[in-house]
Order: sequence, then C-alpha cells, then structure tokens
Amino acid sequence: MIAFEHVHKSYAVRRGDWVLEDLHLTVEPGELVFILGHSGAGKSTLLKLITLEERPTRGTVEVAGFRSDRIRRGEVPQLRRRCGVVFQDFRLIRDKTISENVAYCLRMTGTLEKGVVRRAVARVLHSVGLYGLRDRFPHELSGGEQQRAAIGRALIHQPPILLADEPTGNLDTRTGDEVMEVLLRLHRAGTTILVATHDEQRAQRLATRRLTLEQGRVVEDLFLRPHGTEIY
Amino acid sequence: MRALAFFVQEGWSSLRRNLAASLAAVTALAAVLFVLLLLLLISHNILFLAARLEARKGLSVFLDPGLPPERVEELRRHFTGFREVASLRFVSRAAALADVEADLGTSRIEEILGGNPLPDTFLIEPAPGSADAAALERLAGEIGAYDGVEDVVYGRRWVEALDQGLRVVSQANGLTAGLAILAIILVLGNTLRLLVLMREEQLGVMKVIGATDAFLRAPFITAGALLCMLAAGAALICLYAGFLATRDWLAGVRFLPVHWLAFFFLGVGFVGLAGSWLTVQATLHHLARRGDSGRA
Repeated sequence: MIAFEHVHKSYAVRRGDWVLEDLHLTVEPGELVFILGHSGAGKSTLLKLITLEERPTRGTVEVAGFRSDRIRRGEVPQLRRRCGVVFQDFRLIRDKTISENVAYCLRMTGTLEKGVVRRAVARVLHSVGLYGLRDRFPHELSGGEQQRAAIGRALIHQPPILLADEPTGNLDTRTGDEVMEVLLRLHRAGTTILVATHDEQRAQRLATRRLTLEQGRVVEDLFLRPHGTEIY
Repeated sequence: MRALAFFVQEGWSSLRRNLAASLAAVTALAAVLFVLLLLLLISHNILFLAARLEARKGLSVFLDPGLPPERVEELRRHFTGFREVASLRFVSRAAALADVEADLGTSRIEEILGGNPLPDTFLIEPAPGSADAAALERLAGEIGAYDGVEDVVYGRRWVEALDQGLRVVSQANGLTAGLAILAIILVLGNTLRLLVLMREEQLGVMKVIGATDAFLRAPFITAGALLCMLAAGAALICLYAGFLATRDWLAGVRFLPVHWLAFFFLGVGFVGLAGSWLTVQATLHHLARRGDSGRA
C-alpha cells in the first residue's frame, strides 16, 4: 500500500544535508504505525512524502498505486483523497461550522447533491461523536472536539490511509486518549494509519508497528503485534 | 449548474467575510465604470446626432447651361450606375428657380436678373460607407471630370469636421475602455490578492486534502466576477439617477439603449472573469513558489 524505496529528502540546496536518508520500508494495508522521533527527526517529512506535499530528492514513494516519479500533476489530488490527513493544530476552516468543514471537503470532489452530502456528513460526525455539535464553529469546541472534527473531515472520502501528524500534541492526556480511541476504531475497521508522535507510551500500548527515526534515518522498525490483533 | 451555484455561494461568502475590502473594491470599480458609462452616454448621443447629420451629406452636380436633354439622360444613367451613389434626383433650372423664389417669397428673380441664372442640377445621395470625406472627394472628382458637368459642390469642411469628430469620439471610447480595463484589473487584482492571502492557510490545507487547482481558484474567480457585476450595477444606477435628475435641463439627451447596456455588462463580466483568473492564478503560483523556497 505504501512503499518507500531508498528515499532521500533534502530541503537544502546543497545535497547531502538529508532530512530523510535512505528510507526503505513498506506499510501493508491495515497497519497502525507509530512513527517516533525527536523534533527534526523527519517524521512530518515522511508523512508529507506520502501525500506528495514534498517530493523525494532521491528514490521513489509509491502510495495506493501512484508512484512519485510517474504521477501526473492532475493525479496528485486523487492520491491525496486516498489519504486522510490530520494535523496537530487541527486546521479547520474558522468561519465554517463543523458540518460545513466536513461537507466542504466532500464537495471538493464534485459531490454537490445536498441530500448525499448531508447523509455523508451525518455518518462521519456520528462516527467521531460530534453529530450533536455539528452546527458549532471550531472556536466553540474544545481541542479534543476540534481534533475529532478534523478526523471526521479526513474520513469523509472514506480513505484507505489516514496520516496523523502529532494528533494529540495540543491535547491533554484525557482528550488525547479520546482522539486515539477514534483512531483505534478506524484501525479496527481496516484503515491503514500512520501516526507521527513523540508519545512513546501510547506507541508501545497501541501500535502494531513502531518506527523510530533519528536524524532522518530509521534506527528501529519494530512489529509489536500482528495486525488484526485487538488492542484494548 | 450545481457547481456554479456552489462557487457563486462560496464567492459571495468570501466577499461578505471581507466586507470592508469588498466594499472598497466595489466603490473603486463603480467609480471607474461610472466614468466609462458616462462617456458611453455622451458617445451615444453624439453618434445619434451624427447619424442625423450623415443623412444630410450629399453632392450637388451642376450641369453646363444648354446641355441637351439626351446628354442629361446619359449622365443620369452613368451616375446612377456608380457603386457609391445611393440615389440621384434631377432638379431642372426651372424647378430650382421656383424653389428659390418660394424660399425668398418673390416671383421676380428672373425679371430682376434678366434671366434664370441657375443650372440644371443632379442631387446625389451617397451610399452608406461612401459618405466619409475621402470617398465624397473621390466621387466628386470622378463626376466633375465628365463632359457637361460644370461643377460639383459638397459641404467638404463640415463633412471632414464630422468625420474627424466621430474619429475622436471613437478613439476616446477606445482609450477610456482600455483605461477602464486596466483599472478593473488593478483593483480586482489587489482585492483578490488580499482575499487569497487571507485564506492562504486554508488553501494549503485544502490542497493537502485533495482539492484540485480548479476547485481552489473557482471561488475567487466568481468573487471577482461578482465584484465587477455589483460595481457595474452601482455605476448604472448612479448614471440613471443622474440622468433622471438632469433630464429637464438636457432636453433631447437620450439614455443608453438596452443592447449597449447588455454589451457593457457582458464586457465587464468578461473582463472581471479574465482579470480574476489571471490574478488568482498568479497569486496561487506565487504562494506555491514561496512555499517551496521557504522550505529550501
């Protein structure tokens, strides 16, 4: 489903100053991968390479059948719709309600029929437990609720892959657990999830696989439990 | 159609969210368009007058005294065959004298002057498209070269002045339209750039979650077109109010006809769409490049 083939990434003009160096790994469908590492280790860059927000300097990334070295410009949005993205700072549209935020994402793919949009939004907001707050604006919600709304937005296309960049980074432990519970439910439903985080304890407790990055290199790639195993 | 309605709704909410900037843009655009409409109104009235004057353009062809009727008939056939001649009317010297006597209110001219001094005359109305000064001069030269034609007279100076005046009006219209287009693009450009920059973060998120470039551009382009339409409407209302207020002092002034207004709105809409497209395209491109260089 996701394959990195000897990927190097550098933001510098001078080559050799690698943010990611010789990354070679495959993520199978249904895995729940926690990517650990200090700030600057390359976690976010790894996620950005999956959505092709960044392109590899060397090597190739293949996601859901799209290869970074062959993909056409017009195909990039299709690839991105197969990857729901959740950000640390939620990035909801401030002047739209929660249901409008989620609906906007669906309309972007050309689904404009009101009944279809309403039903899809209701389904997603029920799944993240926010249906009752659908008419609230982001600033009227707590951090955890905003993050759940952001997950709802990421799920509206029913993507097979979900990428979460520090999804609990701005949340206290309890609300962080609530958000993780939503991610676990998605994992149980078969979604492939990659979570970039500093939180080693949660990784140890929840992940099926733990990947540790240090200065752009994979220093540990640990399969903690076979996927499909129930996590409590 | 649903997509259009969605983008118009998005464009409209984008304008409402940035009400101050939108109002400033509509005011500036309306001022530019008001000047353009005013000039169109003046042009329309000048062209209307010019059309009435055009009808009075014509040649008077004076024939040699004592020209036999066969030659007069021959000349009539020749002149009628000219492509530049729309119609030709023969006025005999007797009929001309009768006209003059009627105008002066006397029947003693022939007696006072010792004869009828007026020649037989052809009055020629030029065909449309052959009534400008150059064409009339050419026609007068050709007709004047015929045997039996004593002189050809036409109001050369006023025809030239009229043509010159119409050229000035047309150039002024072109220049004003050009300046108006430039001003529209500048005002729209600044306003839309502001709207895009205010939503920069949101655009970045939309892109990452799979929005196409067209989807990102469309709400801003419709916002630009909406701004132009609102400004055009405001300018038209102001002009019509001014026209109604001054109608008593400007007797005979006619308001712009519906088809001119339709062209005006179509033109403004087109310039609005094209200007918005260019601006949004350039701004998004700039943001994408800035993002790339920022990371480098």
